[in-house]
Amino acid sequence: MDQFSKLAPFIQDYIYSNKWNDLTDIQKKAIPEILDTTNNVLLASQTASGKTEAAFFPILTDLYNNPSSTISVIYISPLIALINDQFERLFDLLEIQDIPLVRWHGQSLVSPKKKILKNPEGIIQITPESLEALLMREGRNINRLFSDLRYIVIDEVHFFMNNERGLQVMSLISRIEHLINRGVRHVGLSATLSSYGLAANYLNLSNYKKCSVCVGRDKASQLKLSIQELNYYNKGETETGVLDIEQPILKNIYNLAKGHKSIVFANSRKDVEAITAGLKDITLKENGNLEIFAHHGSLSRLQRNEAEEALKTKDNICVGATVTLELGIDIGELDLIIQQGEAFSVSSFVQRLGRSGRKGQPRVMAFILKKRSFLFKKDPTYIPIDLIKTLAIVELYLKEHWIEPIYSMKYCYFLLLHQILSTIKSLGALAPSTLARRILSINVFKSISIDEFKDLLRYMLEIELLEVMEDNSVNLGDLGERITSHYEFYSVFMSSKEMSVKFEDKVIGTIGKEVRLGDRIVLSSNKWKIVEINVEKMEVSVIHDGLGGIAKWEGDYFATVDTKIVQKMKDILSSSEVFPYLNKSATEYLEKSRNRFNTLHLNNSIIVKSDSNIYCIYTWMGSRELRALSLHLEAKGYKTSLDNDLYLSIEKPNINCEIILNSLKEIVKEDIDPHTLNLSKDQIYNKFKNDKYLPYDLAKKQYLDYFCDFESMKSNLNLLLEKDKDNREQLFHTIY
Amino acid sequence: MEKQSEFKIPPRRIANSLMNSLRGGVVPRDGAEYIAVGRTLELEAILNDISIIEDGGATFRFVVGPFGAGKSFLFSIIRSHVTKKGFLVMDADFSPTRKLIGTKKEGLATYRELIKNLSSATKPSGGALALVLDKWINQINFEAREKCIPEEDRVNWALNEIYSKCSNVRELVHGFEFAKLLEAYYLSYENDDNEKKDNVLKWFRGEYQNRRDAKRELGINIIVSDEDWYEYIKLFSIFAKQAGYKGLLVLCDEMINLSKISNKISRQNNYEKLLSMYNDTLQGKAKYIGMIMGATPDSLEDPRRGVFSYEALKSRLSKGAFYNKEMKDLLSPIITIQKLKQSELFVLLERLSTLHSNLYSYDKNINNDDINIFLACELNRIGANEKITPREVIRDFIEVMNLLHQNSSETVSSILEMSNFSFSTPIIDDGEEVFDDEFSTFTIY
Repeated sequence: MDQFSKLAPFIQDYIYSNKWNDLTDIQKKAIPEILDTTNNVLLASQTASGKTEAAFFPILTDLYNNPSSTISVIYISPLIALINDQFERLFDLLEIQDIPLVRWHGQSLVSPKKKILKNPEGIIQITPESLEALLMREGRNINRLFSDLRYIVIDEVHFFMNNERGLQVMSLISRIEHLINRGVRHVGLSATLSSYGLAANYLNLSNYKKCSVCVGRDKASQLKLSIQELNYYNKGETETGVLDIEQPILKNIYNLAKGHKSIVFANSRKDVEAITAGLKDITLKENGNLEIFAHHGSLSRLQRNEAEEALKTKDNICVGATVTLELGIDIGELDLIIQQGEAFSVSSFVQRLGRSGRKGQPRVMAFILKKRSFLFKKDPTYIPIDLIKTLAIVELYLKEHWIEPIYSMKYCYFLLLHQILSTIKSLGALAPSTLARRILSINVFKSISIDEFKDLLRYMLEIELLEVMEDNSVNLGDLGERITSHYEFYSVFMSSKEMSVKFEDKVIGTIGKEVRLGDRIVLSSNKWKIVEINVEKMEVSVIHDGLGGIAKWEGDYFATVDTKIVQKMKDILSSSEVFPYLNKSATEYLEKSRNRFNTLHLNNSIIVKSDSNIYCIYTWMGSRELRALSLHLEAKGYKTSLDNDLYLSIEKPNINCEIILNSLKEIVKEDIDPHTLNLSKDQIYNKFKNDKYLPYDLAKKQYLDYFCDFESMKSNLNLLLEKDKDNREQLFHTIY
Repeated sequence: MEKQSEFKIPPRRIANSLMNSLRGGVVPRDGAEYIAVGRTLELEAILNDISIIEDGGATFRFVVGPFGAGKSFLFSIIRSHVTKKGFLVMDADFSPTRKLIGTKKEGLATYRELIKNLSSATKPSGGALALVLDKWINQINFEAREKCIPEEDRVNWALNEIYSKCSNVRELVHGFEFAKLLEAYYLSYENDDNEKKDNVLKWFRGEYQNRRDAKRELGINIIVSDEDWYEYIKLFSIFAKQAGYKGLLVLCDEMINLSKISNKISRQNNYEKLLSMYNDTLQGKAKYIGMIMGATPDSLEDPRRGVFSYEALKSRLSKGAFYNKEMKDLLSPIITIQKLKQSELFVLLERLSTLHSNLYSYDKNINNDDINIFLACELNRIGANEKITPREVIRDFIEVMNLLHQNSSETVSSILEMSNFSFSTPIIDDGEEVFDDEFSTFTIY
């Protein structure tokens, strides 16, 4: 049967009147799965393939045939910008049928929210944080609002699956489903992934339904890729925070970007500012007309909106961005994507690549890496990780279509604590049995035992997050009341408190608290001088300034590298394969790295002496495995340092390769429960929101679960040591 | 009332509902006085209040006692006692959804519960609203007859009478609109306009969502709202007087639910409301009304969340240090009651056994030793001192009596040792359904 004719008449009219030629592949595939099954549905396809419509056309058709008596759909998105974007796209369609569509986030209008609370019908579009707030405020009202809820649409599933906000989303959905006493269908929208099992599991997490997976055909288009190593000399950048106009990297980016529409991704806010401010300098000098914007988490909503709007409407424009532009707001077709600095994960690379490509044109992406020749001479173990890692990531995706599997937290006690507080705030003091029932039946917490739950409750009572009332019900304690009444409670991701930066009463963005009067900063690609600091209001005022300086932000993220990537790096170093997309300098650099790899005998050796007492262990494992190994080594008295993706450097007086090797063998053989290892508080706390309120044992277990992989470390290490039997003397190599 | 040791057997109907309520773990709405033990002084204090109310005064009391002291039981006795004396009584338990004031109309919800549970001597189990209004009309018509008003002038005379009587009320907020409401009821009664009558009842029940509807259907411009519902309770007390009752007693139990509110501002708002209600009674702004609030010691005294966290109330209520846990000062606004002593529990169970044998017509098969065995067993359970309330003891005891009645070969001890006999545990009312699942027995410690 023709899928189009299954849609409700008003949707068919809408499609005609908008003169669409045809439904996209994913839109066609979604219709029978949503209309003819009762499964959860995962819709995966690349950006700009009409996923929103793919989900909503059949959902609205279903609601047209069987109207709901309450709010019928909750659409959950990680970004306010995305909600606003979708609002524009859905509004006209819904207006025809008089279906209320309400944006529900911190910046949306209050009156539509009040109206829908009074008269619950239609669709709400909400962020996880606002949904948390809604549940906390309307706890005893949820049934009235949602008893006939039909669909929960979760956008950017690939993003949610991978972080704490996604766990929060699933916990909130469970809570709603418990309150209305039934499961609701989940429809997930996702970018294309290498395997859909995990995404389907994620969608099924709260209601145990089956999940249908629909994958849209990719627009088959050519890919033009280049990786360029360019010389980098410090021309005062560490002072000014702006790339010098003579800097080859900057010149190259400018030449690529001018006359086009592009995004330059960089791995930190600081780099984004350095590039965009530098690009402005060049444009000014050359009298060019390239427009430049910056886009990252510490810029105000207004600044980011401006950048997004410009991307949609202008053609000669370059926006510097961090991960904030990885997620799917529709920004139109781009000519090219530039990335300054290494790729740090395949999934991020895929997201960024997915931003590129005009219809019928090849997708173009260029990596610009800094060449740091001086380091090469100084340190005998130096291998340029940024180049090799980027190569490994690109190759894994292009040749093997591999994307990192996602590790979802089993022991998310920080979220457990959060949801306990939120549930009590929502429903009032609860009997311990009710609390246990409401919380422990949330699927996200299924690995957590009743005893651990009790441990946590007791600790929470001790520090007055909770208190027991005379009738034995559990209520919020003094501390619990205070932290739950602050809006920051709604989010479960870590955010550092930052100072607002104001210019002429307009907020430009935020910077870290460590500021002094007269400091110069680059923010939103402009240079400023701080002329006023108001600590109480957490505000600084700035004026324009010609010099510039580096703005400091706290807690730039750290990435976890998968073992597969590190092993691919080894393959690349040990092979002689030529990669046509490297520029000459990068090719030479790769050659030198391979020579270094061979001189160090890294194909067979795992231990390299780098300094009198410092040794490097090349284990070719990912970060979670390296952390696990490091903990075991620390327990044996080694000092370890984890700042490198390729090796673990260790230090201990009077050691040699033989001793280290024995230690490694012991680690494989001994059956030490990782939870008995001694970890300092610094190691385990301050990793997740509110984890300071967790008892030590739980915080430790949570840390070990998420940040370390002992099993995989042991099996990888065992494989490495097996080689020992065949080739004893080559296993380690001393360079000095 | 003073001689409580003499036990009167209640009528069968009352005995039956009494037994069913107790077995289900709820306080009986009727007949509680038959099995009541102790509480003579407390009742005396309340009776004193009643005479003040009858004289047009107003009173305000807190009845404070720990869980299991029998506050709800006492309230039930007060209700049936006071209605029999010709008063109207309203009662409501505070809960997560019923407070004095709240952002989700929790105050109005309390008002609606109070009106729903409006009781009189002839309607002791609530639902007396229509009856009271009809009685008021009869009262006016009766006066008309007394004054020999000709029938053709009666309606006009009555309407005049309503407005002049309400001039007393007019010094209270909304008195004039209230008179219009009564006029509407009087006319609908005269014209047999049931729809309009229902609308007036709907208005009194606080069911109008907005003024627009009230204006359209009744021609009056006010509705009972979350903020001002107490004003209408005050009006109602004067109205009750005019309808021929002696006054109105308002019983609010489970004040612990106000102290449970986990938002400081919202908690303070409720205490502020409580203060204004308290002040009204002291300052003579309320008439023919008595308020009694049931609270636990913590819900009063807890410095962070109790009533005393609200400084203005603390200073008023604890002034002169007459609030004393041991000494009973019956003039204090706070009456404390203690947990039942074991000897009092004994008397209670003894009465229940008589009641039971009488109700089911069998020879009493439980003697004093049996009751002692039962009590020892019940009170020796883990944590019993802290947690067990008379409610659970009574439930278990009735269970034992039922088993014993049906299996005459058993004894109290043998029943208690049966593997399928399970003691009841206190149910915490948190607004949730009661489940029986893997979590039902969950405890923190």
